[in-house]
Amino acid sequence: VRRGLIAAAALAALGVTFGVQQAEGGSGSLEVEDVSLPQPAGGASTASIYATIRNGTDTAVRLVGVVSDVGSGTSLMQEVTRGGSGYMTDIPSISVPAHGTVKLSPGVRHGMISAVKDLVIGSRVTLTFEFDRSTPIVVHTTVASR
Amino acid sequence: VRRSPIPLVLLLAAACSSSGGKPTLAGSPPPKAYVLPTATFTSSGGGTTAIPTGNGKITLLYVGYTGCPDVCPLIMADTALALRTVKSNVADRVQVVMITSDPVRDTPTALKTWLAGFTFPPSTTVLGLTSDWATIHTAATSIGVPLPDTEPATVDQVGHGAQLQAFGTDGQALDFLLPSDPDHLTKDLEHDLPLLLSGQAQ
Repeated sequence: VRRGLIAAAALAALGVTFGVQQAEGGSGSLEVEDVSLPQPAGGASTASIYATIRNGTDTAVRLVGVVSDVGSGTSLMQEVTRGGSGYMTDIPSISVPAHGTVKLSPGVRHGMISAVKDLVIGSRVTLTFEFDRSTPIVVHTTVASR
Repeated sequence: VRRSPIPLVLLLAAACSSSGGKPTLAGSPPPKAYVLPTATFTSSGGGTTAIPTGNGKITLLYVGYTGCPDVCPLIMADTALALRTVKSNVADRVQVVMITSDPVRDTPTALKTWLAGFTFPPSTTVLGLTSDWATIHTAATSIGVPLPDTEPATVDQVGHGAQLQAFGTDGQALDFLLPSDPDHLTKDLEHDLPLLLSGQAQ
């Protein structure tokens, strides 16, 4: 455990943010890593959350939300293209298959924080990734430049 | 200032295929022969303007909105990074134009503030444009970006272009660039802009 904590501290110092949740009564773990929160462009009041979710357990889970300690609320969003236009649509959850990986990445899916104010580059943000079949995973990250 | 063609020639040589043919663009050819919209807009720089033409510049045109947290800022950030990376005599000959798809919220001041959040080279012209919905709808549709017939009432109804479009100095669409991942668009622009300015790409 101590070795794991030291490794976690080292990665956090490098700006790599992640969280781990061991499977209940089984093998493997659910992990949230490579979390990033780019600073919104000038004057914008919405921010995007990107991350990689690795499900090393034997059970599929669904990401049902991301809660942050900044802004007024968060949504899970998916990009949908119609002709030459793109739209963001609210989605209730994102499935992460057993032993599978899902990325929240630009232009595909992301978490959206509404009504953010003055997110300064380097400031610390706490994000809680909520799942249907796992306890939440808390990740600390810092606001990144674009 | 007279610009030296030498750096462009070197870049072109690197981009040419080994078979000696014309260099191939990293982006996609436009699906139709689109041309730059000619309507008059209200500019983030103040006053009214059409998209400037006849200035010898490539136009990178995007239809987007400032309340978009994902694709629109990604495209602008990647474009700014590409323009900071290419030779200055390339960046000098590019103008970046964003027509808002959310005129209710994107005032000229809001557009100016938002665009200032991206680090474009000082020599690159950057314009945010807005207008009434009919003008925006017509302009966007004319370049293959279908927007709703009625003006979006709320920000979650607003759409944006699926790609960044490059128009030549004559106003003809030349290149469609997709933001498929964070580095992709930047690399495509760095590859394509010198070719587009040279007129030698295919």
